[in-house]
Amino acid sequence: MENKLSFEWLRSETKRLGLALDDQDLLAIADTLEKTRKALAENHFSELGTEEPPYRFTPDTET
Amino acid sequence: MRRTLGFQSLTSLAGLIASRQISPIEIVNALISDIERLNARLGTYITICSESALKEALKAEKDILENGPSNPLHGIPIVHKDNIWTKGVRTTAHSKTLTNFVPNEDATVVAKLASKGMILLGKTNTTEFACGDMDVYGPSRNPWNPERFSGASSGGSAAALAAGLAIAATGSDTGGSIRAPASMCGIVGVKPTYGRVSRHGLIPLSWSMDNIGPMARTIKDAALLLEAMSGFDTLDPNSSKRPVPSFAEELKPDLAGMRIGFAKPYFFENLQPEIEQATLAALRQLEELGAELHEIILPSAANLAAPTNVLVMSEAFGRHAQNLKTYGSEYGPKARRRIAAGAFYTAAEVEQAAQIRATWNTELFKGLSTVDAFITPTLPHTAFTVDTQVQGPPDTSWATRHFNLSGYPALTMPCGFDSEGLPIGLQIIAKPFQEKTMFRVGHAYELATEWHQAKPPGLEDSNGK
Repeated sequence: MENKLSFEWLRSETKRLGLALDDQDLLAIADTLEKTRKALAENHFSELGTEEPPYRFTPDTET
Repeated sequence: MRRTLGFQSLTSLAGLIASRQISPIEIVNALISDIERLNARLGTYITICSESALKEALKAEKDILENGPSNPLHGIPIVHKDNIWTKGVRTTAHSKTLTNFVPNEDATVVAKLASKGMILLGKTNTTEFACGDMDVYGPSRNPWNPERFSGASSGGSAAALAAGLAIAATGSDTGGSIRAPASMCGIVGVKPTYGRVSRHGLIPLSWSMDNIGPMARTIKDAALLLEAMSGFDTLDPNSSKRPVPSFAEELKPDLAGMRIGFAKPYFFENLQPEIEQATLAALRQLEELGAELHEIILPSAANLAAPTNVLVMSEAFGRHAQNLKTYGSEYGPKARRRIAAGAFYTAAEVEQAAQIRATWNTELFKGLSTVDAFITPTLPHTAFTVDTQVQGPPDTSWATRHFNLSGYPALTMPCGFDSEGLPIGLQIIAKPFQEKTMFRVGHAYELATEWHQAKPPGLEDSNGK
């Protein structure tokens, strides 16, 4: 699967969202997104061979 | 005597106030004098409230002379991280966008501590919005070596305590922002259970992971502060209605009958060698104090950086979206880029991150079911340079983000020094709403060791005091 982000897509989304980001910002963001997406994909529960987890977050639900 | 006042514990000063050996005015004057002398060198404070602090000290002194102190915090100065609202005192979050922001109400924790008679001494340095640069007011430097960074993002509070420029402080912690600087500066920092302390008045980064907690010189001081800060607040819907126990009670010198866990994979890998030695020595010390040690397995521990990043920055973007449209160019590059990245994660990616979080929380719940507390090094390294912080710092949430994801309480305390004299931190984690357990472990360890008594060199006044 092609993971590489389209810089043009980032630019168009930035424009659509009305964010004041320049190309240097977008290059840094693209780098962060690439790294994070790769790590996320490697650690999806299906990749780890585990069951889908129960939803649990706030400590009050755990005790 | 004056220079040593700032290095006293809150508890010890409270005793001196109660026995009328010292007055709040003397404490405030001594601290202001030292802050004026050292702040330009260390960059610890963004705002110093000298005038109002002296007025409050005068009132506290009058009240105490008439009726005695109402509680151990009465007449003690407190400093707040500059992303926590203080009524009538600017609250910048170290951002150009908030240079002139003066809240018209106190954050709930500020009001709670003030109601105990604590005196607001100043607002401490932080990274922009707790995730960016420090380029508006300059960096917060580490008192143990001013070439080194104090840590992020509650670095000003940590450095103020380490330098003897504060007696008690607050910080905020989204992925380790209390614990990492506390570790790097050699003081105690506490991230309470999610929900224990109201976040109303905290300039938010991530609603599901932000916490406000105390920073102090000793475990008992931190316990007293947390007790005063805790409790349900209608203004924070995620605050817990559970009763607040007396955290400072039941602090004992031993750990008889306690079961303490540690996990070698991940948490003992790739450590600076002195940190591994100090942490193993601390575990042996806990065993000598009567605890049983148990190795536990937490296989997902290494997989949490990316999901934390996705969740924190998606939530941060949710809060900053409108401001990024209006004032985006006024944000520093680091905060702007980190927060704006949250706009580009897809729903599937956020969901993946939430599932990894849930997997971790289930694993942690099971892993800690057989122990009372869990120990890790707080960081894999000691304080790095200020230049490294600017160029690209190492992962300072390495062992701390885990407990923001789960909401569990965790503290850091000093457990040694490296060969360059920089502090090493020990992290103690407990089960949800069991802060008393982690305080008990920390207190017993503190009584058996002397790390918390060390002072940074080279901060004496012109008379060598």
